[in-house]
Amino acid sequence: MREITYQEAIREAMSQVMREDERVFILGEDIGVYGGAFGVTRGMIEEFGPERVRNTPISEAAIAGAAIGAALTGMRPIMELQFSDFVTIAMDQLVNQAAKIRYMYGGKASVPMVVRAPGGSGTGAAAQHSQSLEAWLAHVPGLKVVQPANAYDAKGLLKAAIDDNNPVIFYEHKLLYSTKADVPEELYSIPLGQADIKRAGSDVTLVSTGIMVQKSLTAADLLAKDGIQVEIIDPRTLVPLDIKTIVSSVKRTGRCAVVYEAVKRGGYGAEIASLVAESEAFDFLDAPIIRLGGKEVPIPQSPELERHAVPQVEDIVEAIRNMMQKA
Amino acid sequence: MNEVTMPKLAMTQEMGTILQWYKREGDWVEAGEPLLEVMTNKINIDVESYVDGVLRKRLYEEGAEVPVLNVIAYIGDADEPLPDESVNVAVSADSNHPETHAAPHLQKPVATRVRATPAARAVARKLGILLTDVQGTGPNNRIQREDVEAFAISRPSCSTATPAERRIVSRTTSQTESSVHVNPKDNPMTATPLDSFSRVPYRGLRKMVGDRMATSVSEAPHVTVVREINVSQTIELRRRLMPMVEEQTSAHLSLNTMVLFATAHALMKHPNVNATWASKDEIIEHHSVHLGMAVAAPQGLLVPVIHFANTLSILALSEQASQLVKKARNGTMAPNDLEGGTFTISNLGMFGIESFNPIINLPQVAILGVGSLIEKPIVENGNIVVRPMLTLNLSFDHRVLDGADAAKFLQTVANYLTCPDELFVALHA
Amino acid sequence: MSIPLAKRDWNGNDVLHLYYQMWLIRLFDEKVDEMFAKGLIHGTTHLCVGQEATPVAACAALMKTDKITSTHRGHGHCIAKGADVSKMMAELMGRVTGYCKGKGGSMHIADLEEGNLGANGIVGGGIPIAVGAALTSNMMKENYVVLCFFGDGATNEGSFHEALNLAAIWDLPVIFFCENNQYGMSGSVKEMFRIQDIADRAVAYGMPGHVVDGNDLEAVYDVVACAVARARSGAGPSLIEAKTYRWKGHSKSDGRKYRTREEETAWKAKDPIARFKSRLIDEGIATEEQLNDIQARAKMEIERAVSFAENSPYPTLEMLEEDVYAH
Repeated sequence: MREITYQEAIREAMSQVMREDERVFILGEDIGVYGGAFGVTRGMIEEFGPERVRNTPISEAAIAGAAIGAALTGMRPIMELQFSDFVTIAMDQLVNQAAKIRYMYGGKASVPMVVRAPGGSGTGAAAQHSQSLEAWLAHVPGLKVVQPANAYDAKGLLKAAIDDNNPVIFYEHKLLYSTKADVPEELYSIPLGQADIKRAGSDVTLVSTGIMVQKSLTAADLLAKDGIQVEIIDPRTLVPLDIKTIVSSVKRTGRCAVVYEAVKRGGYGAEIASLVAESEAFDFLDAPIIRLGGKEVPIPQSPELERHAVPQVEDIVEAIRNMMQKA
Repeated sequence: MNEVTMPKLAMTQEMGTILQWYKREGDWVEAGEPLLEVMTNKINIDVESYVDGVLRKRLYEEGAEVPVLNVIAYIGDADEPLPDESVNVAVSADSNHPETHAAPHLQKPVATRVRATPAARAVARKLGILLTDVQGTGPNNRIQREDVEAFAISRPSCSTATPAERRIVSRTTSQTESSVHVNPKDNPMTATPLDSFSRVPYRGLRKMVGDRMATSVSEAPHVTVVREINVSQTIELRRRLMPMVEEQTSAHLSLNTMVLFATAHALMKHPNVNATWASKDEIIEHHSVHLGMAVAAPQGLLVPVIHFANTLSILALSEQASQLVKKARNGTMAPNDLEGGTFTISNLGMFGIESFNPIINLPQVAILGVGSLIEKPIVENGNIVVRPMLTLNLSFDHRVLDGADAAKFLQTVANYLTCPDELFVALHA
Repeated sequence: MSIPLAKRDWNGNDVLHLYYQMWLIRLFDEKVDEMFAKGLIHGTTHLCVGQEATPVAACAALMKTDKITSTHRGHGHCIAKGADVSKMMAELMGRVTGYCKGKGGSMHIADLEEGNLGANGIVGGGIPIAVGAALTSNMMKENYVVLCFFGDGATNEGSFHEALNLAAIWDLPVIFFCENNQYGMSGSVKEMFRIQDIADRAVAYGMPGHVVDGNDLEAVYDVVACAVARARSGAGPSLIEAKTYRWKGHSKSDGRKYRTREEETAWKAKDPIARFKSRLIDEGIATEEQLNDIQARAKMEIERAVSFAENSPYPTLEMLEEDVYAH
């Protein structure tokens, strides 16, 4: 196997699917010769032409609506949001249209589309270009939400998202684009709703999403030196959520921490924590479930402030240590 | 469906408090098996089941105060329908017994509001432990699972095995087997500020042992005869045997083993001492010696029994004794190890106790207390010489034995230990 | 109006059927009004009494394979595109035999088989979706056009502007059809627009704009037919503004305080059905008696629809959680 970046894995998944299925196309801002704001679609217009790699005006609502209309009539569009923050402009189309069409129409229609949304902080892009709003979308029945944490997952999950007959919001993390992993050359699919145990451990279950998976893995190495064995579970998809894997892990470890980059208040990690508390794992809990999330502030630009606005490796280490500590 | 009622144990008793349930709903209960522990204003008592069956419904939680003669549980077949009133007991109890105090039937005692994790609560429920007894070592003194597990291992265990005790021992044992891991450093003694106290509940095993001691003292007229003996020859013999024993076993031949050996053979010569009460009007004189030895184990006083001690070589006896001590200290005692004793030896010598009055371990009829080995000046052939002296204290049940019977037995033991040659002769007898 | 009715080509439609459809729409909505008042229908509804010419004429200019997107005031569009009023009535009454199993109700009727991509409860929500459906037609060379109904109010939504621009730059086969019924709820076009004609907005997007008397069936038909021909030829979208008037209030509880009774009376004098009826009689296409029979037939059809709906079961509770996601 060869190593490729997260960004290359996403491009490869799209290209390979597009070679197989003429109904799949991409639309978004500056995705043509520019290659997209983060270069994800670089080279694709050369292969697939401007019909299937459609450069759009800066009209997120229209792009989303057009994707929905196309999906409703038999296409499988992939829409690229330049920054996931811009989902706010497309929100009516995603929440009131894409998510609800099937149900409103009594199951007669389906909207097979993918919204690729680069999210997260760490690039100094500040408050309007660094958010993690995945919980908003995960709240809406009818949408699926995916958050790949590495290149391997990105390729397999994107394939599954494109194949899915529902609107899928595919959250990419900007800081992960350049990270590498072993990725098979052939096309493969990772089922939506299947969590991955990124590291096995016996002392505490750490449920991490998106970029926090990488940070958790680093934190777990440090904690292992203290004799604390952390089990890291990456749900990979928030909707549908593989709560079973999480619950069975918590039953083994008796402790559960959830870490996510989004603002802690009302973040999706709160949902995971609640599900664990309600589950049969309750009687196995030997400590309160804790959440680590972003501070309740817009993401600032200044580097140190930005770093402190979201959980970092040392925050995870400290929180887990505290969790394991005696009176 | 059989009703279990709150027993009326005293004329003036109106209420009883449920201290703990030994059985959970759905458990099989045998007649005579303790079902729950009840506290009245005077005593704590185990309420036993009168019938065999499944404990179908517990109407009150631990800590509930219930008027006497009120139904507190139902025992029946697994599929037998429950009476209607069991569904809403508080209402029916009040309306059926208007003369009783309006007792808060399902009230939880304030003391149970402890800070504990769900896992700790689940384990405590499983092991029948009250969380109020457990010291929490987690943040904010929160009780965590391992605190409960540590408590379960260290709580008082039994010295003699009644069915209830066996049940508890087997429970602690099986829980030990399920790899309960207690790291001593995880359980530091928390500093106790001056002028503080802890309320230690008298219940469970501690209470069973204690009650038996009290029963023994009040039932059996105790007389203790004391004899100080010169054991220089036994010590000399031990010195000579030691290399042989150590060569063949890992056990170390102790003076205590010599005492056990001598006592086992002395008992064979005095079957009236090697006896137990069978009933109020019958005593069994045993033809084999099952020798109990009191061990100060971490969880409390244990009396493991060396079965057929009279048939064992000093080598085998030494090995068995050391194994039992080890098991007692590890808490890996099997119920069988605690049963069937015909006589008990209690040795407090290691604590520097010279002489004491041991309490008879009923239904046995006598117990030998061994003090510490002390070098003392004695008169021998008109000269003052220093010799290793040992005090033997024999408490006996005067209902079964007279002073002379006890004295004769003690004399035999004394003879075997002052002049082990006699023991050698006796073996051939 | 210069061409005699008898010599007109109605895109293969029987002119008397168009008359019948107008009555079907009016009687359907009047029946719905009555049933609401009696508490037989749950929720809300928006009636298009007085606006019957626009949907009938517009849809007459379409092929069966062409598609429409509709609005919250969509019963007329739905009927004109060929829907079965029984299934519509059942939908409004929340019955399982309705177009959407009773889950959508008045604002979300979709009839995909007849090319109705669905009504929309969000003002302007359907406009980008129509663009997407047109995109499919282009990309898959399906050669259908999409007629997108919306009201005057929707043209002040961002989605209108984004969608028109997108359709224009991609030359998509869309007819943006604005039914200007003079009020967005209580907001009069006089209050909410600085321009006289909404069709002027077409200029901003580089497409033709047409103003037409929405109560004149023939005029509407002509202008739509022209726009359809343009779209189908690949020349791109058009914007049509049909000026009309809703006779009833916005929805159930509207005292119509924002307008005068005189204004209503003046518009009712321009009743599109009466107008077309006199044309038919004047030009000798049908006698008054024949036309009255057609009206009676429409009335019977509505009674049949009510009876069908009333005798239909409600969806079962098991269906509550069905149709959220496609498999």
